[in-house]
Amino acid sequence: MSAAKVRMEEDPVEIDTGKVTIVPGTMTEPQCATFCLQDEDHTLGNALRWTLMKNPEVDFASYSIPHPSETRTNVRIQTSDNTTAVDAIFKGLDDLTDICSHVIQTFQAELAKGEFEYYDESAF
Amino acid sequence: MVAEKKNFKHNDVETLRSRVIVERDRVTSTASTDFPHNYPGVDLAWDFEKFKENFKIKINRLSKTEMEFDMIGVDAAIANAFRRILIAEVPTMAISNVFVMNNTSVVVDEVLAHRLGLIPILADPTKFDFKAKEETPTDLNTIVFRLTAQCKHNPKASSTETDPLKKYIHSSVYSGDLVWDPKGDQAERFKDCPIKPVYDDIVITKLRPGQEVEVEVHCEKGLGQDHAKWSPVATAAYRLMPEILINGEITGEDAVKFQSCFPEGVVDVVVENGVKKAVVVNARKDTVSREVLRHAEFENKVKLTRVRDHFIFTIESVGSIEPQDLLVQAVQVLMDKCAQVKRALQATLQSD
Repeated sequence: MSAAKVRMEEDPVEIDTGKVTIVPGTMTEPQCATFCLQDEDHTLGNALRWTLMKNPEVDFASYSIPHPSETRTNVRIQTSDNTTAVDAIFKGLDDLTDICSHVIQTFQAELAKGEFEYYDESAF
Repeated sequence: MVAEKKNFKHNDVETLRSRVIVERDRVTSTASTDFPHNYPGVDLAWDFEKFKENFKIKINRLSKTEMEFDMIGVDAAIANAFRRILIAEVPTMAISNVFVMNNTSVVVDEVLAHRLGLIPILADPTKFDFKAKEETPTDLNTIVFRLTAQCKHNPKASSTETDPLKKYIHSSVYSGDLVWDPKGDQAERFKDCPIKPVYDDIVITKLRPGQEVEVEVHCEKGLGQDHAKWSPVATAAYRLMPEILINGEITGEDAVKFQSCFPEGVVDVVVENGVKKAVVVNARKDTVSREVLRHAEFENKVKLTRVRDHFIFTIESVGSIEPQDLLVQAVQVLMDKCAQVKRALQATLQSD
């Protein structure tokens, strides 16, 4: 419930700094880091991995769930010298947000067009 | 990568990139490889404009509880995130506390509570807050229902009556017997859409004369990942668009046999210059049973693939949220997740 709780909170003052941490010892230089996302799973992990891999400056991007009974996901990023791991994850998140807003827009436009069959199950 | 009709080719790079290949005894080319530096001369870096150009949604059918639509031009990682959120992370209201005043029915208290919990509740979850364990119930986070039922002999029934529904009064307790008890300003807030179970005809328990049930139930907002009763969908699933490629022509009696390898409506047999010929007319209807690959006469004549970025999505709502709203809410949840991680990471970086 805690994940949901935090998500629905609109108040930006209440930010849980434990939500995202950089795993100690993994950021030996700015171009690489392992981020630990608390209360996230394959849903965000895999989608974020995909947008990260789409970035040509990212040499390596991958995620793992270290243990099934702990609700956290590790995201490992290694980039070229043109950027940093932190910038790459921000870009990955922005790209994913762009995709989502475009999906909503496209879906609502399609719904408004009304070019589909509307049926009533009670007929079955 | 757009789902356009392909010619029959043997595993060229373009096919491997855009299609999942279904062979007789295995499925190959399953992983998506559309990433920069993977193919010489092909720029596969993220390009929002290109994405907008290729991305399409086509709604096929819609009803109060069900929707089928095609989502084209997106990777499985994204489509799967939507599917997972639909099942486990779109909030709904469900009964989470049952206070049993009296229960002399054959269904014991805990089973009764479980059955009550699974009843879908028609209430807009966006108008409620999540209730933390230590929080007290308020009209903003809790909905209250009462259920009282007593079974009696029906004085009007004939002495030879055997149907319990006629012989007794209240022999079955239905979800429709739940009576909403508005608290605070709930009656005012929900006067346009009174809160009730989605279906009135779900049997909760059965009673016989002398038995009774008296309970008060509290509904809370929750997520499917905590308990399936909060899942807004019965199913949310997708399949990839099937594709059937024919090498050359399949004619004569082979054409008829070819047609019978597929479900009805997938392949047509047309007569051209007095010769029967098999034509694929609607690959969407194919179940990809691979029956066609078992026959020696079709070897090297047919190839089954699936279009990697063409998802045929089906959302079957449980009834509390309409399917077209469900998709929008699910995508919104993914956006909120991104925003939340971004804010949290910024905070972590500042505190270091």
